[in-house]
Amino acid sequence: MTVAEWLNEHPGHILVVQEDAMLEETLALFKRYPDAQDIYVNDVKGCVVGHISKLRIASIVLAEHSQTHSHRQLIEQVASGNARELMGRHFPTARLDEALDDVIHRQLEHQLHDMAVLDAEGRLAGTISLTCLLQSFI
Amino acid sequence: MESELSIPLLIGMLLVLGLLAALQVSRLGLPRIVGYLLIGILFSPQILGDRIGIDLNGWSETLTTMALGIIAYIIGGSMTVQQLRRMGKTIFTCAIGESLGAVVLVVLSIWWLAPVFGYQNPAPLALALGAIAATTAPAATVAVIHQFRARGELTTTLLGVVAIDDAMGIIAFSIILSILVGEGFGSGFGNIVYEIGGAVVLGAGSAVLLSLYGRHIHQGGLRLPMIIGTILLVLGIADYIHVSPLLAGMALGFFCRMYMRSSAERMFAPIEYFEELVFAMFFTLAGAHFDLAVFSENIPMVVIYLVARMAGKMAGASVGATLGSAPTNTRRWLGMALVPQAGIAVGLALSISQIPQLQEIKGVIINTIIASTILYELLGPFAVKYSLQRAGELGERRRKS
Repeated sequence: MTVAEWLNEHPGHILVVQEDAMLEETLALFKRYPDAQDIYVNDVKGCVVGHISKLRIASIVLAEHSQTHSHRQLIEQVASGNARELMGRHFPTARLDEALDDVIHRQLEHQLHDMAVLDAEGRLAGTISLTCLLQSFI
Repeated sequence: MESELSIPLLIGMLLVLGLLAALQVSRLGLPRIVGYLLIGILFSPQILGDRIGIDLNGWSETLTTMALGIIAYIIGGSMTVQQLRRMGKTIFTCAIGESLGAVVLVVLSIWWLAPVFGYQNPAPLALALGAIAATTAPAATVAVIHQFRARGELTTTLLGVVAIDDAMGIIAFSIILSILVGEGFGSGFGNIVYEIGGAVVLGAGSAVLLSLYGRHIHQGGLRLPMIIGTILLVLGIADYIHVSPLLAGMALGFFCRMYMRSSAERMFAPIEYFEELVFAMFFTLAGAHFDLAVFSENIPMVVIYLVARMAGKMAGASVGATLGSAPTNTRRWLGMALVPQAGIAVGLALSISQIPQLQEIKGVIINTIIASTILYELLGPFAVKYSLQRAGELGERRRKS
């Protein structure tokens, strides 16, 4: 089975924000889709340039509940930025024509809940969710 | 006496016993640094040091420089230009005001009052202690804010100020140090520009290389040795070409964060775990340098430093807040909340004592900073709490877990 075939059978929500989206916008998206673990960041051409995990957002929004902060976390708390500043640029992705078995192997290796699937132009085509995989294989 | 303890054994004992003591004192509600310092003092020459033949000379200076370099890198990389812009004018003017206020008032007070207490040449002492006075202790401040769920204008400004004033402290320290080591401000102005400018150029240039490597190394395990290796390389080159190692380390962190943009987190998150180790080492080493005779002879100096730094922080923060059009509560109470002083000050004191020109007064510097740090750490949290309370920003106290 290819990744494209899997996505046809298991379409899910794709959460995307633009690079200049502020923290509140990203937070609102997580609020609307509470099961989502990651939000992807698009540039003006619609290509994915980064991703923001729920944990990253939580570490900023819930910072006041933490007893200790590094200087970096302190400044982030006072002057949090837009999606471009919050996102991570390096994250594993899959292609549509890849075999699903290979992608699952990579997903487990990187301990990812959701694996982003990109089309030939670098646009987000969907995500392979570990929950979906488990539901279908059990 | 020749050292009977090997260096790894001594460092191991200082760290392990220091950590155990820190955990014990924190159960009693005291800051961890009291535990670290107590263990350090236990190994000072007058208690165990001379009996078991501890010799701190020759290696502790190198260790202090390396540790301070790591801290400078972390501080430099904690902020971006965009974040500094977003922080706004108030936080900036307050941070500059309170840092400068503390430095200026400590320098002037010691210069003026030290001869009254019998100090013959007060200028180097005044400059050395003034250079250390700007830094604060973010951990103590954050702990109080967290414990009392503080929220509001003053709390936000306070968090912003403690986050950036250590960077200002390091800049002030580097400038004053180059004045101290050079031939005075007037004659050595070119030297000062070379030391500061050279450090920034060295840090910025090395950051290009570090960020290039950083982009291409994806294995987390390889990143840490690469970062530490680059920091040590920069410190070594800075020392070799006689520019400020601390500023070079800070510039390395700042420009690495700038070049790597949002990918930079992985260049800093792993090394931030080193902070506690570095501070534990600073405090235990500083404690081991403690000398009861020097301390008791210099109690007036401790008092002058304590009062002048506190007054400088309060006056400077108030002026800065006024210039930054801050609300009345921030103008009134910010300075008092900036009283805590801890790890970086102790690290700077240890590093300043390595300078050949300051060997005669190194005992006074280290013992003044140890004594004032203990007092500031004990009184500081009350000062922070009082300020936030008067500003009406304290919430419900958290239950201890």
